[in-house]
Amino acid sequence: MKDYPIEIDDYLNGKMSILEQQMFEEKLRTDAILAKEFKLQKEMLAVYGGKDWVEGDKNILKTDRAKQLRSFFQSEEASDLKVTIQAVVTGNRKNVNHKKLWSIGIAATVVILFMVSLFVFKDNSYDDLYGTYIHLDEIPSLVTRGNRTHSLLEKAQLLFEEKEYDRAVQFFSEYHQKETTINPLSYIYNGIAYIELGKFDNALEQFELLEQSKTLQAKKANWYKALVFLKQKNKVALKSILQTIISDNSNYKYTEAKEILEVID
Amino acid sequence: MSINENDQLKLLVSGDRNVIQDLYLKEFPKIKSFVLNNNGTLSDAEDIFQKALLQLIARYRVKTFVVEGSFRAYFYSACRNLWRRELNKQKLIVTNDKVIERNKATEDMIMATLEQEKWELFQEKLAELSDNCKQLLQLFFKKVPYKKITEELGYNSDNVVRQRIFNCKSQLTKLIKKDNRYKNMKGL
Repeated sequence: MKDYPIEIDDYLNGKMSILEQQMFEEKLRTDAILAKEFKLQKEMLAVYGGKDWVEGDKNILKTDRAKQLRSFFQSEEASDLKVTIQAVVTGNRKNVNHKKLWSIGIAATVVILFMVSLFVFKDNSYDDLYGTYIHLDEIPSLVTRGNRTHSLLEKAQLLFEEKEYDRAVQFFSEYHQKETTINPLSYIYNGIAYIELGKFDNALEQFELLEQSKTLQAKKANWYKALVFLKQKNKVALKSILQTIISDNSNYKYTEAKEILEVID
Repeated sequence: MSINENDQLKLLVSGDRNVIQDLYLKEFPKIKSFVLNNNGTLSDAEDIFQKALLQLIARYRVKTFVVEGSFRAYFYSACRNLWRRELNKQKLIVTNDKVIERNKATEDMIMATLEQEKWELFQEKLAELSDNCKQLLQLFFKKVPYKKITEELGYNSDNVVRQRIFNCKSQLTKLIKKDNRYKNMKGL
């Protein structure tokens, strides 16, 4: 029955002491058969655990099956199909937009009436808006389970949560200098810390890096830049970036951008 | 899979616009809410819908297959997997980023398709185990501690559970390794 070493389970399940872990990792480096078994068990954990995804070995691209798939994907039939599917998707998106515009129109009117009746927009209202839209709870945590390697990041987040922005910024900078792979969320946290410190240029620089990261989080960069301008009370820059956000309704925080634009104008 | 659904699959594969529209209306809201709830945007959801459909058609074109159970449930799980894969890919970035070439997109579609096939194979093999093994392994893969499994299922000790899980997982490993499709998936 024994088909793979049981230590693999202990390792994957976090049942090993630090020393045992180190010994096991050393064995993985030298024992090719163990490494292969380990890979399969890890893959099973990813598939059946339902959270992670393990990317396959690129060597698989040399198989016949891969070659057949490639010739289909590159065929004229596939590109025709792409066009048809795309047309269905865009067609439906337009329908939704019509409905959405109506409701946004109504919501915007309500907001405007409300704002006009209460006060004429003042300087300190920017701070209120910033407070309304910052939503720190929306940013995913940097600390992931079982991840011991990023203690710098953990410390930085902790300081951030304690509003020790000065020190948080130091830890984030150290993390950005030392690590070769960067968690893009760290740019968001660091940028907000800079906003809180009133260092708006540094904040913008962080969101610029976020934009360049080409990750999922990159799409959020414009919104955070808008928050910088909001806090800075820089109406011209704020308007221009909000206009960019509302140019496409699939952009991050499209509705919120629209709301702010209505209010500041 | 009902006859109706089987026909639907055939029409889908032929690129029938009405059938695609129908699939969109029925399935897209679910896909959208899954993607939006997992750090994505509307355009990500649209992208996933398109990719999953193209992937499905490609698989059918290369080798006709029959979907066991509900086709729509099957399609939804393919979409979820594609998004999970996307998230995993973009979780971390490399600072000295390599330039991504255009033809990498096809390669990525092929990899995604083959990874999905592997995922399905794994699910199929798990279903072949005894109910007791399935139950134990489901808990194990959800990272429930041995101690808790022992208490909940009334075993004598953690060690019994650990051994039992090991045996079940060995069976599962064997089943996977024995399957020809898995042998081909290893690439070399």
